[in-house]
Amino acid sequence: MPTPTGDIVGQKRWYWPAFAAPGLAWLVLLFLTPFYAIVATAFGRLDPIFAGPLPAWNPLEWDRGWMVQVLRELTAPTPLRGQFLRTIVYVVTSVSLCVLIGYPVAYYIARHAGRWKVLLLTLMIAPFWMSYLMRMLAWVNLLTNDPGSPGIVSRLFMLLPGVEEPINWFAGRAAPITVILGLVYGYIPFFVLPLYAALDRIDRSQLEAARDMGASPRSTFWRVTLPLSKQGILAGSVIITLPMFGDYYTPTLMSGSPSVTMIGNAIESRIHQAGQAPSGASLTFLLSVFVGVLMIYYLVSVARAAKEARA
Amino acid sequence: MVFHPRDPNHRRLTRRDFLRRSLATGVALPSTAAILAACASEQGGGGGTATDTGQPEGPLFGTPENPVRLQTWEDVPPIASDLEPEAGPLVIYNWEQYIWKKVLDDFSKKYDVEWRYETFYNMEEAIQKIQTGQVEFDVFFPTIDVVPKLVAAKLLQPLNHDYIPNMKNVWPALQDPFYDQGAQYTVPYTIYHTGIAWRTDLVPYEPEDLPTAYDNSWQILWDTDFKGITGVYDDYREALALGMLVDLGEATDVNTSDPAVIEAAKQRLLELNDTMDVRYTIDGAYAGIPEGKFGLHQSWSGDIQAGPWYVGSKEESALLRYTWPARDGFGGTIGNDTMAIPTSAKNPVLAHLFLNFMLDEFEGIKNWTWVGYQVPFNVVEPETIFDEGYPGLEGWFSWEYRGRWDNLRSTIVTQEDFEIGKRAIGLPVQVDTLYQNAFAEVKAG
Repeated sequence: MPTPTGDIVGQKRWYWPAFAAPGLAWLVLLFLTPFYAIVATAFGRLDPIFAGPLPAWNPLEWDRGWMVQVLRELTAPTPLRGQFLRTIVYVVTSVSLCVLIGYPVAYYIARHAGRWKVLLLTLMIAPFWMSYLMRMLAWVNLLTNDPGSPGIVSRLFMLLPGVEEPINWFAGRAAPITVILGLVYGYIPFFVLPLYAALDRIDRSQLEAARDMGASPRSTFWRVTLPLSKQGILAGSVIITLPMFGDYYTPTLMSGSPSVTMIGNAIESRIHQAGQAPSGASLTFLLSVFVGVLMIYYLVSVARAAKEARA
Repeated sequence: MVFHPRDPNHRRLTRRDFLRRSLATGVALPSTAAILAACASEQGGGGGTATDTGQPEGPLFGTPENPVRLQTWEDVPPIASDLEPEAGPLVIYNWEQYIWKKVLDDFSKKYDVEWRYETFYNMEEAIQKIQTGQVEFDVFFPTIDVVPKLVAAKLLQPLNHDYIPNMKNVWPALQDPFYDQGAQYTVPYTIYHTGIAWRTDLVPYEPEDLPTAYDNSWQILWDTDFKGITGVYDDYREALALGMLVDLGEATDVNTSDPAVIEAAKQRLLELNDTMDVRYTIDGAYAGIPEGKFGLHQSWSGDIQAGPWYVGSKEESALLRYTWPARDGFGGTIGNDTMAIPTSAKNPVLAHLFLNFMLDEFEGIKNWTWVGYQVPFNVVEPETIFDEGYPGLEGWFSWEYRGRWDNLRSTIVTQEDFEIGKRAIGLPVQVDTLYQNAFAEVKAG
């Protein structure tokens, strides 16, 4: 009589599930508990002296006032909603650019780099051994419009006809471009790496089969490679979308103009202002719900793709 | 809460810092709640609830017009006189880079003790950690708006001035400040005013031109000739004070609770967003102007005084200018930081000796040459300090670094400045919220 899967003779029923324990402990300790702290702060009150947050750990004591207020702010035409919509535009633009720029890079490395593969991957990652902050500040120096010594990028632009003075990249109309540039530059390797892994995994015999059956290189790409790398695109996009939604240091470092602040800036300032912590926590909670919905879409489409692959 | 000149949030925020802070907040919350529940009674809603001893329980916010003597508590006594200093190590809890380690070494040598320097990113974080007992330290550097709150929460111990004879070096007004009459809990650390800084290649004015070029010198920040190169501090009180000063000038009350005045200031700042492409920064004055990222910026006097460290050449540093419009009758804010000893200090005697040490003329001025923020000492006058430096510290001041010049002479804070400067003080929560919401709207763009 065959034994049920996983139930090896001489081993207890809990043997395999026990391997999940470290992961589970990690999740509870470093995700669920802090997340509950955010929720308890969002529904909590303020201490009378410092106006610091007094989290309500008991759900029976929850005060929904802050959450309702923030929800109202997000649904009415307020500056906060403007900030939120702006964030969506920036994130969607940045992720699209990452796909457009990152796909050819990942494709080249996975397919055509040959023995340079490791070197190219290392070179792509190399700048990211430096801290995010340093890389952003480096861009600030490349873009600077200091009249005495404009940055290299500003100087290059001055070679164009009609550009007499260094462009001001940090304020006015160019500021959104600068922030999106920062986001793309900052996050693109985290997009390329999973995509590279997905492309690298594609079985060459499938491509050969497509060619054998008369598909042109172009249609092989569109009908075989691209669908098979969809998982990688989705995974990469999710990995960069989530932190971009919470990003507040890129607009701060690259511009500082109120015209480019994102939802993360609103959270950051509320969390740090006395008396505003529950409002910041409510905003954090609502943003997590929003991002969570995106996550669910991702998981559902992964499941669907896995099913298709089996079929 | 007010951002501090030394708040490094906006200059060195790495993702690691961000993570560390998020984690710290997450971990701190439970214990904060427990402690606050224990020490802040639910009904004591701040303000004027009286105790049995007749003292108000909530924080007492003094103003220059209505100075306050902060509460003293029977269960929080000062230390006795003539005690032997403890063995240390002395633990200091301060903003990052807000004290010169060489000065700490001097102290260490003099009293033969070790020192340890713990830092915080902003006042909220510091207070949270003090409340939860996460850091144990002997000396703290609170801003004046939180001093009354710390006292009301019994987190500071009264000072025994027998240990602090150097208080005599301090300007008389700050020996007996309005926020802490009798200096019961604090001694002054550094001083600064909030003015305007610019570089003359981008903004072709001398400080004395401003009162004639504009009805009110603050209007220069609204001058569209300087669109795109203008910055304001990312600090809700400083920014809104600016929005008030530009219209009301000398008549401004920077602590007003009048919603209409706050609303008008907000509209003025929104105007800056639209017409000036203004940017909000913390480093725009001390680094942004010298580096050419800004041409014009609201500026703490100490920030632009440190500017010469950030320029590329002597010629470039000669371009820097600063003015404090209060001197021309248009009003302006002025401030000072303080040193205090927490109730929980392990080395209170040593801490007293340290406060005294920092008020020593030589050591205090030595520290100023490095942190860039001035000390309120009798000996410091623009004439003596600018022209003669200080014996034993020749060549160490920022203005000596790139050669001697006079263009930043106006950054020296004088005793007279304190008579005309406006002080931003702590505000009751409801009023504070008005300010915060107004600034949040400005920052949302």
